[in-house]
Amino acid sequence: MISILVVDDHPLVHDGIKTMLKDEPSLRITGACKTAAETLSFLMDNEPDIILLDISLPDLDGLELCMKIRAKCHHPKIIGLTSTNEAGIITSLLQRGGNGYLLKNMERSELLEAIETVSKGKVYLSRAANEKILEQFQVPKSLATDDPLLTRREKEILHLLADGLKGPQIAEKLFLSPLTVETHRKNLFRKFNINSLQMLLRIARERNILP
Amino acid sequence: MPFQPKFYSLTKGFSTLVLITMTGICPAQNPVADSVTRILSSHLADSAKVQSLFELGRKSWFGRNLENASYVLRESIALAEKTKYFTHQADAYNLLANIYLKQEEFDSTFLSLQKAMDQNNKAFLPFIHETYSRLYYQLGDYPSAFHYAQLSAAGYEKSADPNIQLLCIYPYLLAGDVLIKLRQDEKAFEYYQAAYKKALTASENWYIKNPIQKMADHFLSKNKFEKAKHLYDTIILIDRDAPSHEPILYSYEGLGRVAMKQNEFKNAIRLFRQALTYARYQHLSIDEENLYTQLGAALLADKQIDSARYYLNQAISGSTRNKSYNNLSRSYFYLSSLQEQQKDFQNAMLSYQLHKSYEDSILSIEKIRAVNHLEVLYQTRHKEEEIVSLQKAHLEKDFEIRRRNIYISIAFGLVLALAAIVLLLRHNFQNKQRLQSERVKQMEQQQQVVSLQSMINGQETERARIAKDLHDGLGGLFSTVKMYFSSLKHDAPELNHNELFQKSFELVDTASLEVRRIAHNMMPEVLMKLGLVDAVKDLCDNISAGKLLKVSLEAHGMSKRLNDSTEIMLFRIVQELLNNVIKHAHATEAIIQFIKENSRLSVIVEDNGQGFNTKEADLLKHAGIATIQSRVNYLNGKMTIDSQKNVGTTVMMDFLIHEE
Repeated sequence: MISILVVDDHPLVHDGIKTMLKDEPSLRITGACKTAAETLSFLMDNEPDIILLDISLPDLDGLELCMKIRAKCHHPKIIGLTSTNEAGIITSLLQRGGNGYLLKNMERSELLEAIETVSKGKVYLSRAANEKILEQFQVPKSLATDDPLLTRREKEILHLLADGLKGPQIAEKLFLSPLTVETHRKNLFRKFNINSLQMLLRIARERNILP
Repeated sequence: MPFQPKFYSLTKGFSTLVLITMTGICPAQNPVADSVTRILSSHLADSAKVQSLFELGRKSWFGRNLENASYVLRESIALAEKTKYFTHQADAYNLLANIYLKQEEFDSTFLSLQKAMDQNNKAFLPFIHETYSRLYYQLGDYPSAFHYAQLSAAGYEKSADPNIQLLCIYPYLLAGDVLIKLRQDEKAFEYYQAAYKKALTASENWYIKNPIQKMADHFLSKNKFEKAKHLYDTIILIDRDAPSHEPILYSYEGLGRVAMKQNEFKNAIRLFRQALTYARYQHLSIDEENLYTQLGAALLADKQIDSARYYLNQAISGSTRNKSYNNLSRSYFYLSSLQEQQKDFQNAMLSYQLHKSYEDSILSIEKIRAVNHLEVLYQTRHKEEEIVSLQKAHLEKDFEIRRRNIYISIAFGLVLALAAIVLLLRHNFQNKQRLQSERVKQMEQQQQVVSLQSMINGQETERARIAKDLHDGLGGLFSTVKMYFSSLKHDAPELNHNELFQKSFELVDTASLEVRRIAHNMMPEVLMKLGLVDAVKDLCDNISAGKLLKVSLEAHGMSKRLNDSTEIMLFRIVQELLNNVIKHAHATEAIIQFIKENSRLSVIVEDNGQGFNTKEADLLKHAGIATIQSRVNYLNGKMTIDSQKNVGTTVMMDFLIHEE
């Protein structure tokens, strides 16, 4: 017997989920909350096994509510329920203690699969969410290293700085305003988190950005 | 007059021709004219010609040839005027004045002296003063003569040149002569002595003769014959070494007079004859007649009647020619006494009457001279007054001009000041107007910005609201419908084969996806929930997933969220820029970079596309940069686009973020 709490400000969603789960005797909806405050007060007296949590709530962001629930109790498995399919939201829900992620336009089978998976202590992601998450790793980026990515201009300026040129000279050489060069220089410092030209050049050489 | 008086009246231009003619006729008689012609036609420089003429004139003057000297000097002066060579001009005028004085042409003397003064030669002033003194002496204005003699003497004494210092002897002597005329004999003698003492300092005996002669004359007049004789003898003795004219002549004459006073008539006759020989030899015509008279008187005293008559007649004819009335009077006096001795009383009477009349005429001449002098003085003074009044008029005119100038400058200044004030006022007014219009424009701009801001804000708010409604409302509805369909499929499995049901189910699914897509485009949920960096990261991932363009994100110092509207705006900017990269750049890589350090936020969107000319305004419009620019302006940011053909484009934006 698995107890389920549905948190959604939309009454229709409650009805829809209730309808989908009516033929499952092992699953029982023990509560339905419309706001974050309602949810938190419900959880004072109840400890459901599963929480179907809508991320968009009128009083508090679902992601934050997830974090608050996790801070209070570890038992309930939280499955995010949302109509959006954005990787950022998905990962941040998981980071905040969520156990699964479902899109609202799910099919009945998906819902049952999700409940079953998280109940076993595993993470469940809907098919669409899965695809989104995988997209992140297709970006070639400098994921392999910690080195910040340098823009073309930053590379040019770094080389000229290594040649011993000063800001105004670089500006003249690259047909840029000295202010622009200064901004690039500051950005370089910030990217490498250092505050002197010497250090910048040393790090750049260490990391083979400069010969 | 032994030389041609004709030269006197010759004009310059005419003179050369006449001179040549005359030279042809009587070459021996005008050697001076020849010399002048030779000098004038020579190849000498003008200054040298003037110099030569002047020297020639001076030589003639010392040679007692007044006409020639006058002529040559006037030539010299004229040439000097023409060639602006004025070195000897004062000297020449002064010499000329002396010549005129000898010729008793007092007006010309005055004129020449004035010209000499006009040369403004300070060193030469004593010479001119000396001549003035002689002139006034001649005119009988003794106080003036004395005054100028003293001026001249003082001037000579002041000179640094000892030779010129010596010349003060002559004004001293002149002063003495003046005092004699004023019957101050003792005082006169002091001046003669002063001259004598000065002359003693000279290395030559030349200068001493004149003072001694004057002193001898003084002793003679005081009947101190021995002293006088001694001095006259001294002069004659000195003169053997250094011959000169007057002193020796006067010494013989003086000795003769001493002899006469001592009744040594034979001796007197001898001495007078000697003086006469000397005078003739030196062409001293006036003194010659005087000596004739004296000789006649001596001969008469010695009872040599015929010889006496002869010399007296010579004296009378010569003096008549020379208009020497003084001598004529004296000669007639002696002749009368001679005729009386001959018992020719009638002629004696006649001669006596002539003597008297000449004496009168001397007086009248003196009167005339005095009158003339007064006239000259009057004229001079009149001229001086004229000059003064002219100067005064000139000064007044000057003053008038200056005053007018001052008025004009004041008026001009006032006009300028007025113009400046008017200009300033106008400028001020224009400035005010411009400022006002600028303020209005600024206000309009501010209003525009505000309205744009509120418009954009409103737009974003509306978007967010619609997106939320779509998500939660319509999205929720579609989701619920799909949930019901899904439950229905479970409840009645035979529906799986119902085509109509299957189509409806798919359409509901498509509709819910469509709503989600529209809502997402309107306002990404991740932007609202997680912030700018995550939203942009999602954006980058979405684009990169397309495989055509890889977009990377670099974010530093962005852990803290910015305020909602700023994040939305920045997101829109980046979204728009990425749209441009996708649509126009044909790039394969792009970097989006957020770097925040304190309140400074640098946002860079860089691609490796084809680039574009940043100066082509059309392209800017086409690339939708204008929209981006307005969003950057909304955030008070600064955007620079740095694009290189076939290298890529870097869009750089700097913002100052005010955190709450």
